[in-house]
Amino acid sequence: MQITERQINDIQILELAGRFDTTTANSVLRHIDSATAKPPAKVVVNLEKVSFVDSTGLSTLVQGTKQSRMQDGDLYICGLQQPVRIIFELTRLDKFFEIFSAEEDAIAAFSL
Amino acid sequence: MLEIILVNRQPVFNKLAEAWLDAGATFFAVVNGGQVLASWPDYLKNDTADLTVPIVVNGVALGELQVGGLHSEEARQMLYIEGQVIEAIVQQEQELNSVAAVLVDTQDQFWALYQLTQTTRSYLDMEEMLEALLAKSADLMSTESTFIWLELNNGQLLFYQHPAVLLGKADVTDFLIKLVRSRAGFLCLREVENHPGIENILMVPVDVRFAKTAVIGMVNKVEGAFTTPDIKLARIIAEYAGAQVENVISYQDSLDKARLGQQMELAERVQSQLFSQEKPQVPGLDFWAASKAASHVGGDFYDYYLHPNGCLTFVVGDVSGKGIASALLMAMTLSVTRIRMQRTPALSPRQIIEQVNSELYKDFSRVNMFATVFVGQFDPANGRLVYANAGHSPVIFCPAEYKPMFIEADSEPMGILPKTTATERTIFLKSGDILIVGSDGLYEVHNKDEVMFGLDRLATAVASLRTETAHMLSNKVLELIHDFNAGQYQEDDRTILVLKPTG
Repeated sequence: MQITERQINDIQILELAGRFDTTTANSVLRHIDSATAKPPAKVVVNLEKVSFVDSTGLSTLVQGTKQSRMQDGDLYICGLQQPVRIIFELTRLDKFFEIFSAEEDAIAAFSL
Repeated sequence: MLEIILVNRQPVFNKLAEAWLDAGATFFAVVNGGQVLASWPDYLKNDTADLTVPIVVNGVALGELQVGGLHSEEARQMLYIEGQVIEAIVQQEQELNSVAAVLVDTQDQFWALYQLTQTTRSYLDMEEMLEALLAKSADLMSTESTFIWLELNNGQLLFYQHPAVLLGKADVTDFLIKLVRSRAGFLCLREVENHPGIENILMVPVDVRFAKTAVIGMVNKVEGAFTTPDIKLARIIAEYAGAQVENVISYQDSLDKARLGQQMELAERVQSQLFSQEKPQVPGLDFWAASKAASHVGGDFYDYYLHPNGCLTFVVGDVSGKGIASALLMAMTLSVTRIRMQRTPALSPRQIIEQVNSELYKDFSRVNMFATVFVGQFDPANGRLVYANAGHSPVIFCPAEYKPMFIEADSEPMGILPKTTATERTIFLKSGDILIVGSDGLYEVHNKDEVMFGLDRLATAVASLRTETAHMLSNKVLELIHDFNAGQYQEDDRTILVLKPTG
């Protein structure tokens, strides 16, 4: 899995590519940990290039969301491919996360 | 060197001298630096050489051949040729000597290796092996003590010395710095200052895959100082020590793996016993459940309880992640759920999820995990199924006359929110209908072309097997998935529970 980190104003963008599963979740978690280390932790995880997310990947995003909310911020998700969107829907985690179609929408949502 | 040749090849020189004397020479002699090494006949004080030729081998002048009483050009040329012959003979002798030296050296090294192998081969414990190796090395090197210093990649330091304890860690650290600075690939100090008790030391690196720093050292040569052959021998010992250390570590590694394998098999047996063993005999209901973990242990679980009033409460769950971590949390979730399932009066499926979530939320959050859970309560008397689905899939309802449909989750999995939003729904099952509650391992299965088995294929398979018994349906679905996945690694646990009203 490839992880690209960008910053737009005070928002950390994590762009993931490949399979987000048990074998790759730890490295994503390290990036999320550093992005949520201090308030306000505003994080956007772009999954546009992610083909598969398993339960460990989902757990990592849940933890990241909880951490960022504890640090006066939030974690927004964007760019879900159809198979990945189905995984979010089947587990009803689409109700827990703030999910946006495009990265710009997720970034804009932080200024609302 | 010429003296040796004169002895070893005396007949050659006799023949040359005889020829010169026959040709009218007054004498033939071999001389080095004014000293006559040999002459035919005896060299007289007032003899002076009329012809001379130097003997030079590899740029070193070894002496000269002298002839008296002859002056002709032919004689001079003849002496020149003989000089070259002698040079070739000397060169041959030198090469022979150096080959012999190499052979002796090699034999010494083989002998040392043989001794080391004999001494250490029966040890598989690191400390015992190193002690034996150090004792034999001290013996071979004639030193008071030998030591080995291994800083393993896992941070562990192995530092042994034998037979005498002469060095502290600070001493070795100091010598290590000197070794790095020496750039010679070894450290040989013939005199040592500031290290009481250490007179001389020879230290060479040991090549060990599992170590950051590894050296073997010999301290206090019993007689004299360390020589070049000692350095060669020390290198041989170091090479052997490195191979032996790797052998012992590999052996211990495989032993640990074997032990872990045994523990995992035990865990697998324990886990299989955690699931309900006896399938309940419920009049009017054909029921089956099975689970196959991806590795020895897994995060999937199922359970059921037949209430005295004839209602069956059942649960299928999947703890996120894989392997031992999931299995541990699974065992906890299963036991907390089981207690709630067996309450009298019976708790409803939503209540069970609420209570289990509330009890385990902090534990789930602490370890960054969650569990999808489907809890159902079936009354065979009227076919009423009440269920609550917390993020779980797949749940397939296959009515006798219609296409199969998916029962979607209504709330997030357990462990996500401190207070769950679980809701309850009711459907009625009649004879011929089937309810399948599986785990995601039933459809997130890939074949060798990376094609996923998927939900639709699973639903179609269930529909085509609707006339089978619950047990057979379960077996055949698992078999289909296994065949689809043929030759590939099982990615996830596979659990299936089949509920089939019969009358």
